[in-house]
Amino acid sequence: MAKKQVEVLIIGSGIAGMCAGAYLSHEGYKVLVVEALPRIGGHCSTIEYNGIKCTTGVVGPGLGGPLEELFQHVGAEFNVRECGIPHYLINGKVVELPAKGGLRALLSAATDDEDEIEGVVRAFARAMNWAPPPETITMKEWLLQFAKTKSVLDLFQTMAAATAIVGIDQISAKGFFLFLKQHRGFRDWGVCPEGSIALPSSLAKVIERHEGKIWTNSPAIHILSEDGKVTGAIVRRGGKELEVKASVVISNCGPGRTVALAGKENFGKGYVEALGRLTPARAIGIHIKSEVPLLDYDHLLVVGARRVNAIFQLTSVCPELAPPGTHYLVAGADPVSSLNPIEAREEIDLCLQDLREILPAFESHAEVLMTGIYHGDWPAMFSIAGQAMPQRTPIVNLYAVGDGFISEPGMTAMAGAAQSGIAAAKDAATRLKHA
Amino acid sequence: MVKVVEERCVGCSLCVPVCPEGAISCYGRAEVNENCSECLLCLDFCPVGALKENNEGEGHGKKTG
Ligand SMILES: Cc1cc2nc3c(=O)[nH]c(=O)nc-3n(C[C@H](O)[C@H](O)[C@H](O)COP(=O)(O)OP(=O)(O)OC[C@H]3O[C@@H](n4cnc5c(N)ncnc54)[C@H](O)[C@@H]3O)c2cc1C
Ligand code: SF4
Ligand code: SF4
Repeated sequence: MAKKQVEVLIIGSGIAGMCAGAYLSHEGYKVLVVEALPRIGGHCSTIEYNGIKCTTGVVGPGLGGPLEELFQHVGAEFNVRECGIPHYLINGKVVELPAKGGLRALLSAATDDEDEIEGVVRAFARAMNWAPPPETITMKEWLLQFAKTKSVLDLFQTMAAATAIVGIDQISAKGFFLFLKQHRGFRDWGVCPEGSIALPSSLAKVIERHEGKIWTNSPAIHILSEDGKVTGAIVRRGGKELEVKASVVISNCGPGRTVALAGKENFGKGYVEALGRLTPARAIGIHIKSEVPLLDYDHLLVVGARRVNAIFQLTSVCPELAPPGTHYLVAGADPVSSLNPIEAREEIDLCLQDLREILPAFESHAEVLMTGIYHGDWPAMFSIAGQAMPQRTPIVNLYAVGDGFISEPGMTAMAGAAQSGIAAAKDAATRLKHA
Repeated sequence: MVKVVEERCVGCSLCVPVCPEGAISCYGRAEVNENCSECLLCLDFCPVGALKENNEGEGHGKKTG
């Protein structure tokens, strides 16, 4: 078998793997990234379809935070255009989120009960500014102490689902508030004019500038270890198998695959059980093409619909994503069923029913390009917010990164994945220095 | 015609734009129609390995093995 030696091998070119690769390349280490698919980026990538740059997941990367900081640190271009003010659809009314007093404005659209509004606003301020609620109750349980109107619960469900891909009955009240603090009320996010793939591509340039390599169509098929320490991996490339020897291996291919590649027996029981307890996030994305704008603003958070929780008119922010005069939208939804194939079709039907009701021109002017379901072995995220996992695995010098291995409280999705990659890379850099 | 391994397909639609013949549709799960020219391009793009070359003969597919 052919052999190759690198200092750092990264398995998977998701945003976490690319952040780790760019950081370590910038530090001067020789990095190889292997990606199973023909394109880099995983859930943060772009596919051209009907002339439109469709996203494989990430709709809007957050501005600021660990992701943008890393780009600055390694000298990568961060081409993200800021998105406009969020709008909410509540009880048939569109509410533009005011700069101040946003929560009260939203609650006023959800209920006429002044006492209820007052109660929720006060409890919210206490949780944000004084002490967060305990970890042991869900956000829904917390809310039920102050809220009784269904629309109020639905409002929070939409906030959680549209921004963190999680239900209020899944996330702890503490986790919700930590997330909210990190994300400053969901205002600071943008869209990539060249499509989401621009972000991993920009990091790829950093890796290549430092003589690192990125191989697509090259799945890792085994992670090798000796005496509890990682030694590299077997990679399939061009129909042949190749042994890549590495001092550090950073796996970005998800919890289940990492364990399968390295051999369950090498991790010890507790670890594999802990990974098994992670709740993955599931989502549906409906990709829409339209001859006329379907929204008068960039995005709409939808409260109390059957399934759809958000609609993003990405071409309002970045017209470059589609040919002139064409509009590209993505509607996000949280599936309720367990998504066996029949249910999957029903779930999509419910999304389309929502879209017909919410968007007046949908029926006459829009075309559904793709309906993507993210679950099972390709979930929206390997872990919902608030389930901390370290990046160090029981195998020495094998790190696991990605949205299933977020250690920073309040972090989730792409920002969380980036944080996990950066944390692993920093730790690996100190170990490599002393090796 | 390539084959969709039903238990594996998650319905992500990532294979749909890849097909030069427009032979793949996905509504909850991928389906390949008779326009498939067996170029096998889509196989590499499925993130969960749910697309397979159809080796079962029956006039279609290259028989290997
Ligand atoms: C519809 C949707 C919308 C979203 N919108 C947003 C959003 O607006 N903002 C946000 O912050 N987050 C969003 N997310 C979440 C975000 O996309 C993910 O959390 C993030 O992109 C995950 O990155 P990751 O690094 O964990 O890995 P992934 O993107 O999952 O990448 C893992 C990579 O590893 C590769 N791989 C797997 N096995 C192997 C192997 N054996 N060898 C080599 N490579 C392998 C895969 O092919 C893949 O490329 C969204 C997700 C979905 C589904
Ligand atoms: S093998 Fe080629 S023609 Fe057939 S479905 Fe796949 S991409 Fe389309
Ligand atoms: S890419 Fe694979 S999992 Fe996704 S719809 Fe196509 S066959 Fe199914």
